[in-house]
Amino acid sequence: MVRPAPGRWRRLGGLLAGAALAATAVAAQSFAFSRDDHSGPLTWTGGLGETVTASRISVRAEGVHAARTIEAGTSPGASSGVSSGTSSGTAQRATTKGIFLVVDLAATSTRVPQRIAPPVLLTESGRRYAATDKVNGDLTITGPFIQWGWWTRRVAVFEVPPAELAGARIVVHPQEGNGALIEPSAPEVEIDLGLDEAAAARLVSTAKDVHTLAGKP
Amino acid sequence: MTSPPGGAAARRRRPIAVPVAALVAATGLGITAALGGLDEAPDDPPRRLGPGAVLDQGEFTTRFVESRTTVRPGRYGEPDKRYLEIVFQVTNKGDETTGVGAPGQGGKPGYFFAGSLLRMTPEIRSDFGPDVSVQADGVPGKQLHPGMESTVVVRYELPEGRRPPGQVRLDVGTFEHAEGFTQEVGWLLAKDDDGPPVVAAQVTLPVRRKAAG
Repeated sequence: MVRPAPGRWRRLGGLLAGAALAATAVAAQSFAFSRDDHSGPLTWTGGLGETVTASRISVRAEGVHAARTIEAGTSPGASSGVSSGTSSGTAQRATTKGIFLVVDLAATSTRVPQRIAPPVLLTESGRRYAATDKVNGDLTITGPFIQWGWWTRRVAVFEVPPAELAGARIVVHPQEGNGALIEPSAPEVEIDLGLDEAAAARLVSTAKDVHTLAGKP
Repeated sequence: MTSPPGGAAARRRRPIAVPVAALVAATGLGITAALGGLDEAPDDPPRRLGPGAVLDQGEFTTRFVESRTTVRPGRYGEPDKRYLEIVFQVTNKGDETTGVGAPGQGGKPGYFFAGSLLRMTPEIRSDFGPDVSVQADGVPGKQLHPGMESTVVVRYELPEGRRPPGQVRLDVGTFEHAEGFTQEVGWLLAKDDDGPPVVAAQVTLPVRRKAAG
């Protein structure tokens, strides 16, 4: 028995159904994991003053300051500079062509003692500023071990152009793999520093000439 | 219904399509060969720059400020140490903080900003290569932050008894942003296929002598 050829309407219906399926398939691609989603960290977010807990660590940004000069103990990197004639142990000044942003951080561990990697400042324009190396790392949040049971209070210091301050967020994450393994989906805390245009401008205009970092050099 | 006209011998055409095609191909080949073949056109010769010139290096905008000698008095009775310094004003145009890095030495490739200093003539050899740092009032650093101009100083220690050269010539490369298949690779030195990095500019800087101090 020969099947009759499909009618014109039936053929049109088939074409429409095919087109709809193809369109759905293309649209579904927008839900696919991007490259960054696969390899990126798991991010917990919060605002200034909030305690943000990211699996292994809890972090709170307690305050934000700006300064034109940082005075602190010797930077380990400074010894290589020939022109830095001061002997080690004395307070050292760090200057910048931009401005120093000092974020007061408090951190505690939820389980094991660990250290925090140099934090990153993420700006509205999508730039990533690593914490400055002009300040001795022992005086910042990267120095001490973060322990379970109490809060460790240290700073993170960034060098940024003043125009980049508005909308900036700080990203804090623990040092990777205690066993030197590459850790997929590592935890990180992202805190909005609450700097709108006005607050950023006020921060810059009231920036201290010298910010002294407390602690043993 | 149509049918071929009068079945009998339509006049047999001489086959010319194939000879004409062959002639066109041969002419095309000849012209291509005459113009230098299918090889890529040679790259532009490196730009010749002097003191104060600015080069767009992709990841950085770099001004070649000067070259100078400095002297550090010897401590504990050691002889004075003399240095040849090359000064750059570097602005990081990328999205991330990077480092001043180090130029390549003895076949080992350099990295980050100073990795683009491909060759210096005359060469000054030392065990660990030059010291590269960001100079500021106060503590020097090793970072180049996005959107910020930094004064980068590359400092070679001059071997004892060696006179500083009258001028230095730097072969400078540029950076290209590379996207890998599974992840971003970042900024790499621009190369021709798999050849050595391309020299984008040759910068000649007279060496300014500085009195001992």
